[in-house]
Amino acid sequence: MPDLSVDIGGLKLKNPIMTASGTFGYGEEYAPFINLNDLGAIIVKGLSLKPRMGNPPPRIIETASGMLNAIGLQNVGVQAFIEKKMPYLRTLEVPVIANILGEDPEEYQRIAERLTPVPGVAALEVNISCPNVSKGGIAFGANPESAIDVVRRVKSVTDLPVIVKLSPNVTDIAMIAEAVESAGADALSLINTITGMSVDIDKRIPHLKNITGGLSGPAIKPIALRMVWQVVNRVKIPVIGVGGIMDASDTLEFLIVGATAVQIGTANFINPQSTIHILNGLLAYMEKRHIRDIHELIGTLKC
Amino acid sequence: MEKKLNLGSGCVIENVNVAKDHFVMSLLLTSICKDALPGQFVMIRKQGVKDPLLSRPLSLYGVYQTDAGTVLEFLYRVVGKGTWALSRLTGGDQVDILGPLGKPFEILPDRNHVILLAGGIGVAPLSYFAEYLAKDLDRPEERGEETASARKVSFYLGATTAAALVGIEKIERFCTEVRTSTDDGSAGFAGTVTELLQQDLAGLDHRNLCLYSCGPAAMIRSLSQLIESLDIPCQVSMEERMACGIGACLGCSIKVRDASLGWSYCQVCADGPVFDIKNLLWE
Repeated sequence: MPDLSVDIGGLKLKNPIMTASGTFGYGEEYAPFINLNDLGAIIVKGLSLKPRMGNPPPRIIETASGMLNAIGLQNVGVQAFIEKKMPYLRTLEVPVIANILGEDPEEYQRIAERLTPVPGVAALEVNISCPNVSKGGIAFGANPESAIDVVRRVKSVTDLPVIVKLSPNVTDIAMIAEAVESAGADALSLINTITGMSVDIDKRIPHLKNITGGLSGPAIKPIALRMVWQVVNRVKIPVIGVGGIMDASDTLEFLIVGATAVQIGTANFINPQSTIHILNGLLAYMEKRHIRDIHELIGTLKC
Repeated sequence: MEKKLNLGSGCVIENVNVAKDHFVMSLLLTSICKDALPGQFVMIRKQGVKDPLLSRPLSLYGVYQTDAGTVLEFLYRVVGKGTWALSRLTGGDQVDILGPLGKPFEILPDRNHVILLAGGIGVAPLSYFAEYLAKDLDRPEERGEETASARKVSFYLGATTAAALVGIEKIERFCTEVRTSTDDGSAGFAGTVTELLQQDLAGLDHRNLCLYSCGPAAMIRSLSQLIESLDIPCQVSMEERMACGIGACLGCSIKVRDASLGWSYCQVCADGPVFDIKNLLWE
């Protein structure tokens, strides 16, 4: 069997298939459908210091080859996550990555402090790119100074690998990526959703109560791929590709342009076994071509 | 790790246009949904098709066991791209099914007069419930028996106009009485179905009643006002747009009472779709 293992800033994964935050609940929701231990890693729903109710409904609408969401980071909060969700996640033999979001840089730091000593938390993914909350999220991902501040604070209190999730809703994502790398990030994941909008022409109201939402799904894949390609050419740390990955060939495109791993998001909604189908497809591709190590694929784009 | 795989495929038997924009589709399934209960739903999509992207939630209109497998029936209205695509399916087409999902209606054994109140396409899950009750599927010992404890099932069905009163033939087969209303007075009572119920409630013994409802938000809301001060248990089946159907995307939230926080959001897919009407909060 080909070697699929990768290293994400010190975090060893047996394969590059991870789940994107916000599309996989706290893992347990998918246990009836797949063997969670087959995954490279599980990234759980974004965590805030206090529980968050989220945005008023309607929260989602399907658009051409994609969907808009404005969930607004409904989550149980870091304390309940540790007490109620981690005991189950710890029973798994798969790295669990906590996605974190603060309303200000201090809050990111405090959440990182709380999660670092928790057994079973393998890494942190710092969300500086959520488009659907009024405070925090993209506010820190849109300019290099605030992104640096958040990453330095998180790094100062944790020895866990720190992955920083970047927003595509910026003028120059590679510039933000370089800033985050200089602040000590161990890896990057990109892209988060692209801000979008949809209108009900009968009622002349937005389809989402939040008016705008984040676009995900196949519609954004070419943009995500282009951004990953731009960023891998500018940073040395590993990059995790995210955005509209539906199958093994989408995954291969990201690996070939230089992503070390990928996250599967919206595809989980369409088929809860998507991650495993993708993993099997990746293996079949490698076996057919006698590729023994996934590193023979990563960053091999000819152009 | 708990394994309760409810993912499978089905084959369309037929997909009949029963009224303007309304279809009844039946599917044959061989692996799943054998124990699907009234109030539950499935996520459905045409196999191998990427557009529409998301599966659509449809509540169950009928579940039958045959020698060939489990037959599921759905009564649905074409409202958008997803249901339009479903309406194009024909016999032999393959669909992917995730289900049964969600909490079913809870049967209250000591309440012998069941009132089912539906608005428009809300008729679908309540019709299956009526059939389930009529066949005594919850109490096998009384199946086929005419006993003193026999339930009375009254179906209240409202729609905008006579042509939109869909599914009456099935209801009439399984209910003790059927009461209809239309907003324009073209059939049955002229007015809303909750107004019709309000009239009738005056003459009924509330201690023996239980209510189940499904329909537009405005109807559920007026029902909640109508029975607010009355001691009649009422379960409602709610509808929201869904992406995953299994409580992961948090797209189908509705506002409910919460003992410690005052209120919170619940997921229609995983916490519902059936809720106690007294737990719902309205903006």
